[in-house]
Amino acid sequence: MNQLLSIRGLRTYFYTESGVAKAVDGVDLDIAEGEVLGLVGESGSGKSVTALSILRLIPDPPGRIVAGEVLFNGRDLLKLSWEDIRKIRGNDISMVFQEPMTSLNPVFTIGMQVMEVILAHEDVSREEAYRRAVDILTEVGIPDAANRMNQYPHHFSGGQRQRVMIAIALVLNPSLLIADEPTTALDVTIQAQILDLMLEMKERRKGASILLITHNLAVVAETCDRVAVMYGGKIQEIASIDALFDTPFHPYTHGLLGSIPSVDGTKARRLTVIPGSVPDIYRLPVGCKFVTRCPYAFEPCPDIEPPLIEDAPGHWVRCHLYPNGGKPAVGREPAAVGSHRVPVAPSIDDTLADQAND
Amino acid sequence: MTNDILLDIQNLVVKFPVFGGVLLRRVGEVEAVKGISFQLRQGETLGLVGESGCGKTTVGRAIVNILRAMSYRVEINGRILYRSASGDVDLLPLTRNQMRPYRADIQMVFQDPYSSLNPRKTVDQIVGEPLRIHTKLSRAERAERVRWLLEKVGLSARHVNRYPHEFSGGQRQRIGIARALATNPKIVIADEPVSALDVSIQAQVINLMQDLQEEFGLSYIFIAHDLSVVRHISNRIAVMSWGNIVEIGPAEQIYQHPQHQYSKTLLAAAPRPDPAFNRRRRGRSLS
Repeated sequence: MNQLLSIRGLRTYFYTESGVAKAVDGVDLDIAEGEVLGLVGESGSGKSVTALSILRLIPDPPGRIVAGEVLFNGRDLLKLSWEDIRKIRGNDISMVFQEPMTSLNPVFTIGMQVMEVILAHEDVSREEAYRRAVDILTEVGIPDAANRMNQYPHHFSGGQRQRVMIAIALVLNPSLLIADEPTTALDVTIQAQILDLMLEMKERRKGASILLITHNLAVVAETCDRVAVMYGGKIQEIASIDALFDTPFHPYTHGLLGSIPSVDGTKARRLTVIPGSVPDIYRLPVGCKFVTRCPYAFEPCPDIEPPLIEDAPGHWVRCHLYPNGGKPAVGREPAAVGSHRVPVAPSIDDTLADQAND
Repeated sequence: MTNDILLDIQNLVVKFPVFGGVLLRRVGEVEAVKGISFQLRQGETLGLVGESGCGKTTVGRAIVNILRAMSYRVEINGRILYRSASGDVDLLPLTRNQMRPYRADIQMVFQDPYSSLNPRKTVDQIVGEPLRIHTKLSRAERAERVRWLLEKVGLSARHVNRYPHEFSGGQRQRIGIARALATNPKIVIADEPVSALDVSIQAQVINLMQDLQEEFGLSYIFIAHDLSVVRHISNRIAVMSWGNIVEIGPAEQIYQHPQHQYSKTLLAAAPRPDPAFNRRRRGRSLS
C-alpha cells in the first residue's frame, strides 16, 4: 500500500507563562491510501494538536511546530509557503471539527458556505459552484438541498450541520479527511448515521483516506482499519483494530479497554481502572509518560523513554516490557509479568496528594 | 436491594410555556414530560436513558422540585410520592420551606464538574454547606465530617482548603459526590455524572458510585445517554423518548430483549468496542 501521509518526528510545543507544554513530542505516523486510521487518546494526549499540525493550523504564538516533517505526496507540508499550504487545505486535505454548532458561520447561508470553498480553490462560475454545492448536499443526505441552500445554520439540526460540514470538507474530493471528534456532540443514533456517511463517502472516492481522532474506542472499533494510541504527546501503540482489541500490548491500552463498560456480553461487577489522572503537561515524566499510572512499571521506566518498536508485524509499541516475541506482556494480573519487576507506580492517593502538593 | 418503594412517580406532566410577540405573551407550550409513572426501590439504581431533548433531565429536576425556581410559569402535574421516615408525602405541591427537610434525603450530582462547584468557595465550604443548612452540627463537627467525606470519595483530607480550580475534572466530580452525600441522603439523582470525564476517569467514578451505594444503601436515579455506562450500573432501566417512558424493566432484559422499536434502534446504534462484532453487523446490513 502506498503511504499518503507520513509524519516523522513531529514536535509541537506551546510556550506559555506556566512553561513549555510539549503537546506533541516526537510523533511518527503513516496513513496509507484508502485507509481509515484512528488516533485515540484522552484529553491532553496531543491527538488534536497532531491533527492541527498537519495543516499548520496551530495558533502561533503560543504554539510552534519545532521539529519534524509531514510528507504528503512527497512534499513536506511544514516547509511550504502560506500560499501553498492554503492550496492544500480543503483541496487535498480537509478537516471536520467536533462542534457542528460553532464551526459554521451563523450569518451566512449554508449555500454560501459550501460555495465559498469551491470558489476559493477553483476558477469556476458561480452557477457551476451553485450546482456542485447542491449536488454535494444531496449526496450527504440533506433532503430538498436546492431550497435549503438559502437557509442559515440555525435552521439545521446538529446532525444535519455535521452533514453540511462533511459536504464542505469533501466537495473538492480531497485525498485525506481529518475528522476531529466528529460525533462527540451528537446523540447515538445520529452518531451512527454520521459515521456511516463518512465511510460511504470515502468508499465513493477511491483511495481517499480518513484520520479519525476520537477518545471513544468503540467508535474506533466501528470505523477504523488501524489505530494509534496516544498518551503524553507520544504514540504508545499502533496496530490493526483486531490486534489492538484482541491482544493489546501497551499497559495503557490494556487499561483503557478495561475501563469501558460493555453494552452486551458478560457484565463485570467492577470496571478495572487506570489509577490516578493524566500527568501535568508542564511536568511530564522524563522516561515513559505512563509511568505514574502503570501497574507494571519497573526500574528503567521513570528515567528512560522506551522506543517505539515493532514487536509483531504491523503492531508497534512503546514500552520497556517489549520486545516480548510478539506476545502481549500484559494480562489480567500485573503479578503475572514476573517477580523481578519492582513496581514503582504510586498509589492513587499518592498521585492525588502529589498533584495537590505541587 | 429490597422491594420497598422509596419514590412513586405518578403521571408526571411538565409543560414549559413559550413566550412570543412584542408583549411576550404566552403563545404556546412545550410538553417536555408527557405523563410518566415509575417507581424507585430501596437500594436500586434506576437508569434513565434517552437522546437529548427526551425529557430525562426534566424528570430528575422535577423530583428535587427545582423546576419552578428554574423556569418561569412552568406547569407541573401529577404526584411525586416520597416514602420518608415520617410518612408518605407528595413533593410536588410543597413550597420551598416545606421542601427543605426532604432535600437532605434527595440529593443531586451534576454533569459538569466545572460549573457545578462555586469557584469562590473552598472544598470545605462546598461540602460543608449542606451540613450548615440541614444539620445542627457545630463548626468543628462539620469540619470533621467534611474530612471523613473527602476520604470516602478518594480525596485527601488535606485538600479541604483548596479551591475547585486546583482539582482535575475527575477530582471535582468526587467533590460533587461528597457534597451530595453530606446529609446522608436516601436517594441520589445523578444527571450525566460521568459524561464530561475521560474514559479512564469515568471508570474510577463509576466504581466509586457503586462502592458508596453498597456502603450507604443509596438508591440512584442515573440519568445518561451512554448506553454502556447505564447498563453497567443499573438494576432497572427506563427508556425515554419524546417525553414518554417507552419501556421499563430489568437492565438485562432491556438490553437483551428490547421490546419497543425505539429501544431496539437506540441499542443498535450504540458503538461496540468489538471489531469482529461490527464486521458481522456490517455484513448483515450490506446483504
